[in-house]
Amino acid sequence: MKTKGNNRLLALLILVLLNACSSPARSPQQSLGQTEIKYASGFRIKAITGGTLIYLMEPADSTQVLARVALMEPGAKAPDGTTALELPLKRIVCLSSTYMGYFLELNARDKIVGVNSFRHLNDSTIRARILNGEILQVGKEGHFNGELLMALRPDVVFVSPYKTGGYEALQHLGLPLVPVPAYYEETPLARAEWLRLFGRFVSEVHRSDSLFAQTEKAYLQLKKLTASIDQRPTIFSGRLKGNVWYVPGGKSFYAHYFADAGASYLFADNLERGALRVDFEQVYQRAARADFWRIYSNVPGNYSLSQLAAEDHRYPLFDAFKNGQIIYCNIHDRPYYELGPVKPHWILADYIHHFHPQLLPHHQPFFYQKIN
Amino acid sequence: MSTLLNFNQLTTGYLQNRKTQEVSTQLSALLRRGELTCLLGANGCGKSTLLKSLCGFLPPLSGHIQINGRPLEMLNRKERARQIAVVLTDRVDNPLLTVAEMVALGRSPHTNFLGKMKPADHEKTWTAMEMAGIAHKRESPLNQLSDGERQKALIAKALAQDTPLIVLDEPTAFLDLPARVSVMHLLRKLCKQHEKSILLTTHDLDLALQMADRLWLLGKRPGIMTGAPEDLLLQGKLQSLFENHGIEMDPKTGLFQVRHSCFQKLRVEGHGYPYVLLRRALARHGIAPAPANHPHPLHVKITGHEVPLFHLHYDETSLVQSPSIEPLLQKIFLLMKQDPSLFQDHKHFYNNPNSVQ
Amino acid sequence: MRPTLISVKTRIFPQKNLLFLLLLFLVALSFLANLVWGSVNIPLDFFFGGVQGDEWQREIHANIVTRTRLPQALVATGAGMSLALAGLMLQTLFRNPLAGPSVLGISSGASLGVAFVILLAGPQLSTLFRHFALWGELLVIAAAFTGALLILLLILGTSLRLPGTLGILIIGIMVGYLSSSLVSMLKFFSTETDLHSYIIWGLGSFARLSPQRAVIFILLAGLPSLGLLALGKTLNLMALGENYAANLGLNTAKARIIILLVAGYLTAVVTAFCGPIAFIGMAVPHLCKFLLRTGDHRTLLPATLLLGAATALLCNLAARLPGMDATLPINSVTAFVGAPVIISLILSRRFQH
Repeated sequence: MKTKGNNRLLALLILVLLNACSSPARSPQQSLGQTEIKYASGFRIKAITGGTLIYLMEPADSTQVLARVALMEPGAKAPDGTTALELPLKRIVCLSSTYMGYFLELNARDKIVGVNSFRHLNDSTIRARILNGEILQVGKEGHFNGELLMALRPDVVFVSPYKTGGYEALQHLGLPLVPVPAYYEETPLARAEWLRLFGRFVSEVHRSDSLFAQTEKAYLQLKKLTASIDQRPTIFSGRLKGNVWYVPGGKSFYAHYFADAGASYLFADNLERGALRVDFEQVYQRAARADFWRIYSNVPGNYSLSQLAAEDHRYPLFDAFKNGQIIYCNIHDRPYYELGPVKPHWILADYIHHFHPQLLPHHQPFFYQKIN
Repeated sequence: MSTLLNFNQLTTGYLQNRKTQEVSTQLSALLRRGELTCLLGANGCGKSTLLKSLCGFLPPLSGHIQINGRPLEMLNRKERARQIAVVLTDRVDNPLLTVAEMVALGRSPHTNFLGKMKPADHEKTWTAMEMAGIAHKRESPLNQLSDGERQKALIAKALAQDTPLIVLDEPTAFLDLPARVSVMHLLRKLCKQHEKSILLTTHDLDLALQMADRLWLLGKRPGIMTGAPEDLLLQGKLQSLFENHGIEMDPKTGLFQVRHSCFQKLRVEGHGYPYVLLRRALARHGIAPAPANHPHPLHVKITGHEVPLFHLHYDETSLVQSPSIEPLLQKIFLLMKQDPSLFQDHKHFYNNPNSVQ
Repeated sequence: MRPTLISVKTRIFPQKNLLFLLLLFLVALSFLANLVWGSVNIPLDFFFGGVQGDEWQREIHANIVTRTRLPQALVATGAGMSLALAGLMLQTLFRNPLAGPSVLGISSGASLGVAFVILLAGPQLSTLFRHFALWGELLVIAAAFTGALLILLLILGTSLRLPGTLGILIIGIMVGYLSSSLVSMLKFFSTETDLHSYIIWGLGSFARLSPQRAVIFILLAGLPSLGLLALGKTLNLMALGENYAANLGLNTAKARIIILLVAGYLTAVVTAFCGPIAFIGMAVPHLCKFLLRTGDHRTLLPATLLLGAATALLCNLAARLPGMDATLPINSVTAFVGAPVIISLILSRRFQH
């Protein structure tokens, strides 16, 4: 009958369609889909057969690939042209304290076997492990001790790619290097999102994703608090080094925090992501009447106005100084470099608490105190 | 003439790391006012050391130096500066300083700490420059002066210092002959007309013999020989100083001349100035004049009164005839090469000034 | 008709008084330029009591002029005067055109003192240093001064035992090298922030002093400089050579000590307050002689003093003008000015003798 022929055609059609909809034929190292990265531009994650492919991007141009790292399950073959690392990674060397926070957040302390120097490391467990020899110090930035590094037999070495050239020297040692340009992310959430990247390295994929999601939620909630504020206090940042004042640019890390915290950054008009070199007169001209001044302090203990005044005789000229409206972070006592990247919501809360006390009256500042 | 400076049994030398190094011993001499004294001696005999000691730069190892009746070491700096002025071979390293400015510095012992010049100081500076004959260059910076002018400027400075004694170290060292004579004339004038005592070291023996009132001779032996140049010559003391050095005294002139070795003899007839000159030219080439009765065909005759004419004869044949010596010499050398036996007496002997015809 | 006075003429300005007036004018002009110009554009009528703009803006401008430009100008004046004078005295004493304040090793000694405080004491005595932080600037000044004086004592002691000046020159240079290598060792073992602080100190700056400290500096450096103007005759005599000087009644040993002491003190003070400042001490005396064509130190001393102040002021101005790109380190500017001056002077025919 004619209907039987039509049914057959329909079945064939459906079969063809089904085949078309199903996934294409599997071949080795087939891409299984990119993970969605919401804020960070310095890395990309792709699932592949047998593992994960990580792309690390150039800080200057996030379309250029700086390095490709393949995290493979045992026995799986890594694609060509990548740094192949076999999971699980048990011996990690971390050559900058700015990434340490990610490992602390992920509770991966026992996987660390080498660090550069512990001057900026506050975590007590890490310090204890250094003191009893479980973690080795392999030199300071630019002067890493190659022999020590090699003797550690690390599974992976995380290093900052451009600072003072320590990276180039290490490339000849045949170590499994992973350059980490996390510091070059522009926004706080972007920098925090690197937690997810490190989560892949320490086999804590879901935990890192969920931790970041919590951080993101908290941060955005805080940001919403200030979104409708009209009265934004003015703020400037930094201090003189010699004759030069390094002023964070309008698109810098600090500038984003200030904006999200409901302040008006006095140098927001320029488009630099890094710091500008400006002389005192220019800064004073713009910031003499600023409401707030943000600095850091490197000496242990409470920082006082008189200490700041002793550094340069012109600092007391600023209104922010005269009114005592200087917020500072003591990077010696506070784990700013360690935890700062992974706790952007804590930093934001500190700022909001100082700029708009009525919004967070019960908040205890962790990083930033007001100077006394 | 009174004595300005004297010393007796002086020992000069250096003190280095508590060890003494003696240079000259048993030195006794004096300087009179209005006298020019030349200190002579071979290098290394202690001339500079003695000079430095007399100027007060170097304390003597033993003995005393008296100036104007007072011991030199008792004078303070200012007093010493008003007694002794020096002119040295040291280079003045201030090329832009003018002559007037430098000469004015000679007034330093008389001006205050700031160097304020009074009218009398300006007057003395002017006079010093005029005396030294350098006043016309007073605005010139030092680097634009010739050696002779610079020497005069330094002498002017010493004059401006207005001291009874001026000591000069090799003042004629780098000067050409006219400048040397000029400087020595100036120094003599200062002695005679301005009653200054002048002591200088020099290697210029001829000038010293002609210009000095007194000579001091330092040799390797202890002590110092002093006296008027003529007396020292008459006593043969100068000659003994330069014996065996190819130098000898010409008794006619009282000056020294070089001793040549002579191997040949040639008869020369003539006298006077042309004869002396020809003889010198021949001596330079080792040819001594033979006596007139020398029986040799080759001889030289000098004729003419106003303009001398030199003839080279072989017997009666005239080989060369010329108003200048040089063509004669050329011919003689030619003949010597062709036939060395032409000249008698190959025996080596010295040009004896007494063997003059 | 001969003049009654031996006049001191300079080649360019026969009238000595006119010359000094001109130099004074140059100093005043440079000083004012430092007040009027800078990276922030302050309109000229502000200086004439203009009342344009709001009160806040005027207050800011007033602060800029009085609290940052004025102290800098004062410090530059004092430093320029002192260094130029020290340079002239040392060039005459050592009879060497390349002599200058740095030749005695004194600025190296000051650097060593500061290195001890910043590089060594910092991490080791961090809690102690916290108390010192209040006095941090003073501590650096004191350390620089101490280091400089120790070297100066060494130099003076040497001059007492060694005759002449060649020995002192060599010792000064060698001490300089020793200090530098000690500092290099300290640098190697110190942290990055401390190293950065030390390097910044080493760049030299006229801007570090508050108005009060600037006045103290002017008193400590400027007043003795003025006293040095009396040394004209002494320097003229020393320039003749030590034998002539001694013969003319000068106590040359004492003169040598005084010159070393004064030049050393001035160098120590400037280095302590401003960090090491190069080239002004060496180049300005040559510039002065070139312009005035005189060898008489009674004219050269005050002229060098004024020219040194003017040079330092102009260098300070040049270092600030780049504007938004912040200021250049002062030593870069002085090098750019000083080295060509010396090279061109040496090449200039007039200088050859």
